[in-house]
Amino acid sequence: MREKLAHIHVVIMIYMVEAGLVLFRFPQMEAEYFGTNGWVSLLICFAAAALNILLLLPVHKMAQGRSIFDIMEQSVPRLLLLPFYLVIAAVWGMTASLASKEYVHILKLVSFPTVTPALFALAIGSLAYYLYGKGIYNIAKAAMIFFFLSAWMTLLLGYFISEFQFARMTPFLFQGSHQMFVGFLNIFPAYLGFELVMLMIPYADGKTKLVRAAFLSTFFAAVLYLIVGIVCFGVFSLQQLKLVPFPVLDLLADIRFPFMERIENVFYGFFLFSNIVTSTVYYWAASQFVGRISLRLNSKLAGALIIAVCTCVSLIPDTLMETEAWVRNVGYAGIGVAIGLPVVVTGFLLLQKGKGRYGRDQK
Amino acid sequence: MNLFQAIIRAIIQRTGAAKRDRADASGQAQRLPGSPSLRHVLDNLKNCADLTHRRYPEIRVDLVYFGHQVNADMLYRDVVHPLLQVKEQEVPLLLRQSQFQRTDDSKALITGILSGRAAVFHQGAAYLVDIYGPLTRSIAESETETVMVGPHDAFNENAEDNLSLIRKRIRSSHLKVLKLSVGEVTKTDVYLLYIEGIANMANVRKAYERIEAIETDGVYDISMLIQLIDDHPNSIFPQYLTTERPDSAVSKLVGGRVVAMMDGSPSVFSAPTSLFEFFSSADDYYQRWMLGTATRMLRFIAFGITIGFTALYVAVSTYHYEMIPENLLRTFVESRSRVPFPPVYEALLMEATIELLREAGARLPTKIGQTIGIVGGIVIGQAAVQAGFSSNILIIAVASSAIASFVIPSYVMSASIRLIRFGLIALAGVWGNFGLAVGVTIMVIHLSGLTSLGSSYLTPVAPFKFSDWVDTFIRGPFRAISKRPTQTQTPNLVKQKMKK
Repeated sequence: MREKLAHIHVVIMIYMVEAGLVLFRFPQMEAEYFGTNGWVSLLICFAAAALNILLLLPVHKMAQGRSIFDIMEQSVPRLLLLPFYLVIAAVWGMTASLASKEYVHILKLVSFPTVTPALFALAIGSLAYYLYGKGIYNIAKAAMIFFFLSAWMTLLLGYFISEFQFARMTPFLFQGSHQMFVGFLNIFPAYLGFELVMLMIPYADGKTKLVRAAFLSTFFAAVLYLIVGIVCFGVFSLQQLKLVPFPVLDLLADIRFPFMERIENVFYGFFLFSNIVTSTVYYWAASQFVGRISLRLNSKLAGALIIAVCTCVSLIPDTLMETEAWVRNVGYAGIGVAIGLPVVVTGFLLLQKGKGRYGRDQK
Repeated sequence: MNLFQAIIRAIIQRTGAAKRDRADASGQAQRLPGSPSLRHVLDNLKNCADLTHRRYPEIRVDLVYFGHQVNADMLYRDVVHPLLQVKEQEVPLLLRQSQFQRTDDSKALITGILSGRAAVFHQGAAYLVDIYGPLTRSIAESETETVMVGPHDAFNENAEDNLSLIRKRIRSSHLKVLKLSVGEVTKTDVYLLYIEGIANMANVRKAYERIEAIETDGVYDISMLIQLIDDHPNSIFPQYLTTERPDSAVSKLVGGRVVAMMDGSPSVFSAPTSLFEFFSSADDYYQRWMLGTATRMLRFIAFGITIGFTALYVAVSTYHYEMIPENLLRTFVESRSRVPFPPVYEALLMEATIELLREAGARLPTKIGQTIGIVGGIVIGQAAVQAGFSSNILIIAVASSAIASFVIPSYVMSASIRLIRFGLIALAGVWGNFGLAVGVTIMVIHLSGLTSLGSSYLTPVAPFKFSDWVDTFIRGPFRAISKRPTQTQTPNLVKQKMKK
């Protein structure tokens, strides 16, 4: 009997997918787009994410253990669905590879200014494939370990209690904001990852409670983002935050121990753990679609193909800025998939349900 | 034609019967239809100078055994003395006693003699008497698993003694022992122990089937046996916990695990096991729980130091000098300035030296071994620094890593971790802190796929079983450890008295 994913494993795995590199960037985006007390925008984004998770509920309820592929292919011939599969595989595959590429660029910035990023990107791609090969159940187990290896770093934020000033928070909300909708679209992908639970339906049972797991992981990610956001807004001034590209890295750099300083060098290395989980789970999701495009491809080959192609494509953007632009665009597409896919699948399910009822009425 | 064949067959049968009659009449114990013969046994065991064959012509009994395999007292009491007391016509009556087990299979008869039983032949019938009692090492203290507080007896190479050490501690009819034989040539006895009602029978079955399926000419120690039944034979991590301590073995049995012991090995293994179980020691339970907890946590810290300290030194001194505080930087740079090699070579050289010293110390007799350790460590360390081969700080890092590795109670796990360290040092030399993170990632991914007897090697972290943490990362107070480890999938989760 195939092992089923446990509830807590899904919670932690999706949390690790969500709480990725965006952690380093979003305080700057909040300051830039939302102005004073920009961290409040996280709550708006969380509310939107929660609504999006609600869209998963009918899929989970009505699927009755069937995969979304079986549901869709029951109503539409597989051939017609292939372009749709290809687009989603591309979006999720690129989300994975660009997350790694962005990590590599920041690593280059922090520690290795002279090293070519391609080498690191290939190393991360290989690691992702190694983890991918273990299957989703073991990916979830590895995510658990990575979570415990990296979660404690949140406690380091306590170091800044003495530097935190409420005066910096100001009583004004969103003063100096502009293009808030663009800001919302840029910050919202920080919560993406929950939509992947739709693919886990065949790997789960009643106890897994996938939708609740998606909600909980998003909630925990929101709590983490809020803590980081509030600390950043309380330690940096608004103007500083707008100018500093990676405020969290600067915060870490400020932590000094008697025997070690500039510990962001070590801790940024630890972010590889969450990055690997993010990449692998997205690659896994993309490979499910690739495997459906060509039924002859076995799981390992599908994974190798998507990882190789997406890693190669991610090498096209040369600089960090270019990579961020790609990340933004793929993020927008990711929002589309997160909203669109459950809606489409729910539509098919309702259609099938309707037809079933129609059939019974006829009898 | 058919008539001719029938006549020939009848003649052959009659001739054979006549020969048997003559042989019986001459006092020679011969084979009855279906029984193993003395001649057959002696033919099989010819050129075995250590085989003893005693004849008692007046009662027409032959006795065959290996003198060094049997207990002399038992031989006299159970076999020789009773035989000397009876007349020929009373022998069949004597052989009906329960210690004489009639054997009709020659293969079983020979195996029995080889296993330390005496074979008695009388009127074409063969009997085996269990008088096994070879010379063995007496029960002594374990050298690899010493404890400050708690029982000091350890298993020896005799499975009977080891079973007795277990039975002495578990006086329950629920303790079951299954016997298997391993090795085409060695035919070594393996005993599989479990407590009925506590152990999951699926685990017992799995372990039994795996041991039974071993196809090899010989197995010489339990450490060899477990490699033959590993879930993942190519992993560096041990997937069964071995111990020389009967109290540890008993705690594993009571916890719902399966324990196996082997004749000729002073260790037993328990399964299923997890990575974290290798960090616990019997000592933890014999001390106050807070002390036990502190010691256990120290071991996990030691694990981190062993794995990462030297690698971190290499990463920092190669790529991340900015991580060293200003007041330390001078000392650090001074120390490194005389060394002409990159830190990764320097570290690998010193780590290899430490391993050489450790291996030499382990192979030599205890007294010389200690001298090698101390003199070698100090002299080579000091000389390496003075000659500019190594920096002082690296010596501290390497020594700390080595000492930390010995804190881990399981020698096998400690050796595995020490080997992993070399990989991490190499990665840190190539990619600094990122290399270190890559190394840890590879290790975690590898561990996530490991299983022991089919259950996850990372239990209770993944799968997440928080209730087990109280006896994994800490050694909680006994009242808090109210449940057996969930990894064992025991049908009797709550620790309670078994009513029988």
